[in-house]
Amino acid sequence: MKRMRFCLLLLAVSAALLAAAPGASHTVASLTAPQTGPQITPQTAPQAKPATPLPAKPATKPAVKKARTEAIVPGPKDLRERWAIPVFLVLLWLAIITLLTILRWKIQESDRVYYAKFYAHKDRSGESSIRPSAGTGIPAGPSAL
Amino acid sequence: MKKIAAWFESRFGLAPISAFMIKKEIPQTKHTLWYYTGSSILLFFAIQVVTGIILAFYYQPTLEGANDSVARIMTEIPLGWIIRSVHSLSSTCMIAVVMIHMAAILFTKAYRAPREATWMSGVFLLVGSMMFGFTGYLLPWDDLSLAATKVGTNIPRAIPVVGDWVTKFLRGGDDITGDTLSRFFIFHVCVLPLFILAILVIHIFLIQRHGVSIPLHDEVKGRKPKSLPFWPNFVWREAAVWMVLLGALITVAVLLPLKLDPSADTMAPAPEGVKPEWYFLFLFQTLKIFPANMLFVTGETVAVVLIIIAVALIFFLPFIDNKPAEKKGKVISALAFLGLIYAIAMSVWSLL
Repeated sequence: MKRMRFCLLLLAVSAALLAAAPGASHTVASLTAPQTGPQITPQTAPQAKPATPLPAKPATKPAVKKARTEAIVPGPKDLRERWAIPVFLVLLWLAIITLLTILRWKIQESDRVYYAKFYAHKDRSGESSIRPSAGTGIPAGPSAL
Repeated sequence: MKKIAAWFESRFGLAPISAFMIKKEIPQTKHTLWYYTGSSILLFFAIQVVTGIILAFYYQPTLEGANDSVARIMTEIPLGWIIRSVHSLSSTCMIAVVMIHMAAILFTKAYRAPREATWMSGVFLLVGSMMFGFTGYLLPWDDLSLAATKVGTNIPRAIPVVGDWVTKFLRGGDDITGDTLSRFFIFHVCVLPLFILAILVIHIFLIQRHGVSIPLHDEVKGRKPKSLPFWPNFVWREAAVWMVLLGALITVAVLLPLKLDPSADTMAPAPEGVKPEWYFLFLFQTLKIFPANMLFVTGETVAVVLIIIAVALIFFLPFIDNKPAEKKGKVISALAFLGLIYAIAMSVWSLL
C-alpha cells in the first residue's frame, strides 16, 4: 500500500513538472510559427520541354554556408512532438508504476517462499557466497564458481 | 523448450553458473542500500552504450562537421535532442554513482583482503568513466568545450619528464585541431569502451569470486548477518530501483535538455568563466590555488605531482589499510572524510 502511495505521488510530481515544463505554456502563435526543420516543397507533375531553347541562366555563385551564431535550445521541433512528449512521459511513468506494483508482489512472494524454506534443498545448501575479510575469524574460502 | 535448454547446456555448459547464482547470497543490513549502487552503474553504462550508438550514426568527427552534425541531431533527427540529453545526463549520473559506490566501499572498509583487486579495478573504472566524460566534452566542438579541452590537455604538461609527450599525444600535435577531435572521438567510441568493458568483466568476476562483503561491525564481532538469495529476491529489488532511475533520467533529460553553442573558433580568445564538468572542478581549483613558482619548479608541477600521489594512495589503499579492527582503519576513515570535504569545498569555491 505504501509503495502504491509512493507511485501515485511520483506520478503527481511528474505531472506537476510537465505542467511547469518550458514547452507546456506555448501560445497558439508560437505553435503556428514556422518551424526550423526541413521544408517540404509540394511536388509538381513533370512538364514537357519547351520547343524553343531557354535563355542561358546567369552564372550563380556557390551558396556560402552561414556560420550559426546562436545557441540551439532543444525542444520539441513540431506540434506533433510537442504533444508526444507529455504523452510519452505519462505513459512511461504509468508503465513504471505498473511494473513496480508487479515487482512488489514478486518480492513479497519470493521472500515468503524463502523464509518458509520452501527451496531449502540441496541446490541452496552448501557453502555460503558471503565472504568476510581475511583475519576476522569467520571461515572463508574460495568461491564455488 | 527442454530440448532448446539441453542444446544450450551441451554447447555452452552454463549449469555451474546457474547453480552458483542460486547459491549467491546478499547480506541484509543497514548498509544494503549501497549494494544497489553497483548495479545502477551497469544500468547507466548500458544506457550510454545504446544512446551513444544512435548518436554515432549521425555524428561527424571533423572540424567542419562536428558542431553541425550535433545541431542536425538536435533539430532534424526525431527525438535526437532527447537522446543526446539522456546520453549526457547518464554519463554524469554514472560518474556520480561510481563516486558514491567507491565512497561506500571506502567507509565500510570493503576493500580489505581478499578484495584488493576488486578495489583496484574499481579505481580503474572511476578513472575510465572520468576520461569518458573528458573526451565526450569536446565532441560538440563549441567554444566552451574547446577552451575546457585546451586547459585539460595542458595539465599533463606539468608532469616531469613525460609531460610534453603526453600533451602532444592527447592533442595529436602542439595545438587543438581536427586531429585532436578525431583522436578524442576514437578514444570515446572505441578505446575507452573496450577498456571499460574489459575492466567491468574483471570487476564483476572478482565480486562473484569473493562474494559481497559483510559490514565492519559484524566482521569485528565475528558473525554472519541475515541474508537473502541474490536470485530472485535481490534481483527483483534491483529491477525496481532500475525502473525508478530510468524514469527519473528520461524525465530530467526531457525537462532540462542540453543546449548546443555555436561552432568553436580556434583563433578566438577563450570565453570568460571556462569551467570543466563538475567532477573535475576540485582538481581545477586545486591547480588554481598553487602559486606560479615554488622553489625551483612551477606550482602546477607540484600540484600535479601531489594529485598523482593522491591517486596512487587511493589505488594502493587495500595494502596500506590491510588489517581489520585496528586504529589505522579509523585514521583512514578520517582522512577519507577530510578528502571528501576538501573536494566538495573546492568544487563550490570554483563555482563562486
